[in-house]
Amino acid sequence: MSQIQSDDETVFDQDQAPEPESHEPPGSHVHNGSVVGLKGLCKRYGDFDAVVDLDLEVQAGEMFALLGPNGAGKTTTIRMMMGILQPTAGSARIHGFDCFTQREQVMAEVGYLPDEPVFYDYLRGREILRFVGEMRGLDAKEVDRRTIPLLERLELGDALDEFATNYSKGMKKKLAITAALLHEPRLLILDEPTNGLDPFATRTLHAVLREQIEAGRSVFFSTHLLDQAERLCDRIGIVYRGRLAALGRIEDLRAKLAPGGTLEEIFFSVTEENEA
Amino acid sequence: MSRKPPGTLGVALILSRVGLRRSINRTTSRMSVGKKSPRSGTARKSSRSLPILIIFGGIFLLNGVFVSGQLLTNLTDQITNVAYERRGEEVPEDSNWDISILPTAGDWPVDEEVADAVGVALGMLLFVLTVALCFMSLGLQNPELGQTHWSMEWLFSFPIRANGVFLAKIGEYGLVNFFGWFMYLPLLFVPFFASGFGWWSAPMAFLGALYANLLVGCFRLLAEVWLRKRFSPARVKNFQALSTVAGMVALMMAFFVALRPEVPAWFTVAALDAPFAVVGLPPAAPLLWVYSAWAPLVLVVFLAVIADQTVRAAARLVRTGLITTGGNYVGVRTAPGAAPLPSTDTGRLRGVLGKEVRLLMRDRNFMVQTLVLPLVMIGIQLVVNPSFANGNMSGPQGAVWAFGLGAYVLMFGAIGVLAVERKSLWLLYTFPKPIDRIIREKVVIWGVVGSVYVIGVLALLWRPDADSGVSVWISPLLALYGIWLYAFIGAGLGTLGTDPFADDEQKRVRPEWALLFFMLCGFFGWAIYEDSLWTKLVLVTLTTLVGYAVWVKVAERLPLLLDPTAMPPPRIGMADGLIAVLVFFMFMSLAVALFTFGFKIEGADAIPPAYALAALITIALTLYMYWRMKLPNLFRSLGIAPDPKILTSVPMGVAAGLCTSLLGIVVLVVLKLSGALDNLPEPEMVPNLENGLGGIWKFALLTVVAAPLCEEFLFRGVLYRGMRATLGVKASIICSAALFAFVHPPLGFVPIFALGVATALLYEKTGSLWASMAAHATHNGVIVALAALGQTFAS
Repeated sequence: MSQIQSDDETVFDQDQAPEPESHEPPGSHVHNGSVVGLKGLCKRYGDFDAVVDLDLEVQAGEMFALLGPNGAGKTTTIRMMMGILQPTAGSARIHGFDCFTQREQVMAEVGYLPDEPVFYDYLRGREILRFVGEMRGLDAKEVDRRTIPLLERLELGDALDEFATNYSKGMKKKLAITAALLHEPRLLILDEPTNGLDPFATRTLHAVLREQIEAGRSVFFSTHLLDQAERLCDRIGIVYRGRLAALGRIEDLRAKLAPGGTLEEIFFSVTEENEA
Repeated sequence: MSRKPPGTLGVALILSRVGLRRSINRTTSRMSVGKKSPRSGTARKSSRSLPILIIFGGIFLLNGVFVSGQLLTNLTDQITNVAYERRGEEVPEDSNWDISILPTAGDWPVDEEVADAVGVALGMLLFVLTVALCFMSLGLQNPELGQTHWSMEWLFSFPIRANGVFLAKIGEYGLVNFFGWFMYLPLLFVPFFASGFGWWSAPMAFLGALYANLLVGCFRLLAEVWLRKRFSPARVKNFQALSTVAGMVALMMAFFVALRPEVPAWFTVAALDAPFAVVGLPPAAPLLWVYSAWAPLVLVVFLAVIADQTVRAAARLVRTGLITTGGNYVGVRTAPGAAPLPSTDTGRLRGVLGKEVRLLMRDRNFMVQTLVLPLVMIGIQLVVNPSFANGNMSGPQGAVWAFGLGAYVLMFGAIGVLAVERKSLWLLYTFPKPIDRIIREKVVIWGVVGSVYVIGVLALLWRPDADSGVSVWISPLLALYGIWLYAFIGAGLGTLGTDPFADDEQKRVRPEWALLFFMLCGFFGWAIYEDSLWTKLVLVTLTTLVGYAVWVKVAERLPLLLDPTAMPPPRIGMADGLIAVLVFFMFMSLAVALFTFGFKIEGADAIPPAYALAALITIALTLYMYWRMKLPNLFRSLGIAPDPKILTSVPMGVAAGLCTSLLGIVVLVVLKLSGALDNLPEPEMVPNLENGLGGIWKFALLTVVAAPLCEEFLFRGVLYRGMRATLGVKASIICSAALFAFVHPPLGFVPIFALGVATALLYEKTGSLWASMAAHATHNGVIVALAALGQTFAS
């Protein structure tokens, strides 16, 4: 009987129509082993397209690097995967859950390191770790048990009772990495993980990431350091001006784009090709 | 070869230009329509709304003018009395004005001694006010001070002299001191206007206020540089807390003198005895304009000398570099490379509550602002007004005070529940828990803290009347309930009004939202104070629903909070309707006051124009909000687009209106027969018909034209439509009709509820409001015509 319903569909749709994706029961999406699935992912800020039509998948146990110059859309992609940004079109799924509409389920499985982690003014490093632990249902003892070995490896142990605002950029990053690994997530999402870390910490981090893969977990990280991607990953994606310019195993890309060349040459060939 | 860097004035000019550019960009990037080249300034979504700010600003300024006018009258009267008494002369004819918004030009005292003393009195007030503002500019109004980051650091990396930077800063501080503008403008405008400058007083008051604000800016700059240079940020925070208290005490002193029906006697005597030179002191100098046309010159000289000295002194302070103190709050570090110690302390509170309490306990400045300041305020009240605690606060008045104090705490605490997360907000988004639930958990702290204050004040002020029975407990219990409810409302509004991207701490919670909260608190104060149980119930229900609706909106907005551009799809929400109804109520009471006191329209005659004005403003604001929200098909969504099927829908409405009015008549007859109508007080709104039918037309216009138009728009167009999105059709028909009946007098509950159901059904059926409006008009028309007929026959 409702006239409002039939009369002004445009408005009414937004009132009661379900979310476009949610007609599938939550989590039932069959993800054939892929941990991350981005499908036609777009993000537009006003008139500016930050990410356009991104399609890619990451399998379980894989270490995947998203490469690209500054401002290419790496961080925007990662933020959409974290459910912080709403995709303008397309979808990002992790373990079959939609990253935006089912953020809570996604977060239970994911550890996240932002490019520039900022912490509360008046909390000590230890208190932040405890807070993160409590929010994930771990008590103080368990937090200690899980973090102290890593903190020692990262050489942050001595500053644990210092306020986190007084940390240098690298120290904040170490703290955030520790927090991200606290609940032993099945997927690690890292935005420029070694940016600001000293060579020792970088070496430790690389080792930690490899251990994650050995334990059957997956890692997705963004970087603009080519040698880092080359050393750690089998498969990479290169984004350029918001679009995926290349995707695949490094050897395949090398064979196709820059035979016998380095990753750097692949990178330049892809980005300069787009320039023209 | 390097070029010569700009000099002091040049630097100040460049910085002002950059500042101006910033604010222009901020405004235009939001307003621009049409095609832009990609990435030419992407507009950020905003929760700021200019019209609300303008309306509130206008109300504050008008109120300021009104209060200052009162003050001037009181001062003149009392000083005249004392002065003539001393001289042994007869006090001349009293020149008391009536209560009106504007003072009368030419009211400045003629007698020279009195005129000088009034000037001195105002000068003393300006002085105290300026002291208060100076302290406030370091305390409450300056959250940036005490942060590790200082915006000036970057500017000092340029090869320019510090003087220019400092000069520009003084200008910035002077211009953005909103509190200062609201204080100085009316206080200067009134004496200028009263002494016969006419509307020139407005620009004169502007210049005077600018001058005074710049003086405060000078103080702020120098004090900031000194504190930063001398102390670590943690120490600076302690100073800040002290300044807040000192500023509040000075402000309360000024208010104590100015805002009472009678100026204290010692103040009038002091004004008469003090030398006139008080008016020549820098903070009071704008008043010289009343006495001499040379005053602007004095102001310019004062300002030039003071600003120059300030800049020089500040430059001397940073001669050895901008920052010399060490780090921020220092924690413990063990020897480098040492193994981390295991955790020792085990707090009672876990998770987000534990974190929040820990943060609060460590932020001394915040603690003082939020928790100590209300105690200071109560203390001052008790000192200057000892009768306060002596029992005349029993009954609802004490409960209102208790609620008010608790609400003050919420104003700083609960409202900032999201803003305190600052840039660490991202962390909350990494947890497997809905953000609105995390935020709601934190509200518990403020419910508890607010309750402690409410119970404390009740224990101090409130005594139950022995003879009133159980009902005496209603108001204190209501105060307690209100604090919890408002903790949630405050947190919700604060969340909606928080801009997580704002760099400037001060701008994180938009002031309009704090003002909205303030206004809603007023509603609850009214609910506590109100005698009629029915009105109490209506107000409590409405505010409770607002609380619920606000959180519906919050849950919608939070997932998108960190997205710089995405907004929830524009739609009519439940909160909108409720807030629109409440806003209409507020404008209605304001408009009645305006017409009664401002234009001297008596009693029931003030209602129709007040209703029309309030309705127009509310509808215009609502339309503007939705237009800005880019609601698709604006008019059609609100049900007020032209309807092609109007020829069938309007008769349908008329029929429905006839039915409900019939029901109304039946109920009326039943009530009459049962005797329930016998000892009712004469309703204020119904015009007196003894002088013929002249008055009925205005009343009919109100009930048959204005009320259907406005109420259908508000209750069906916005409220029902908004509820429908959240609650579904059936529940919304019942809820909106109940609310609609609720805000009418209780005796008409049943027929008006029926009318509410009928109009909602009509809206649902026809998709536009015209049928509902027709029904409403018919219903009211029949009832009014019957009442008029009945009265005509009776007389």
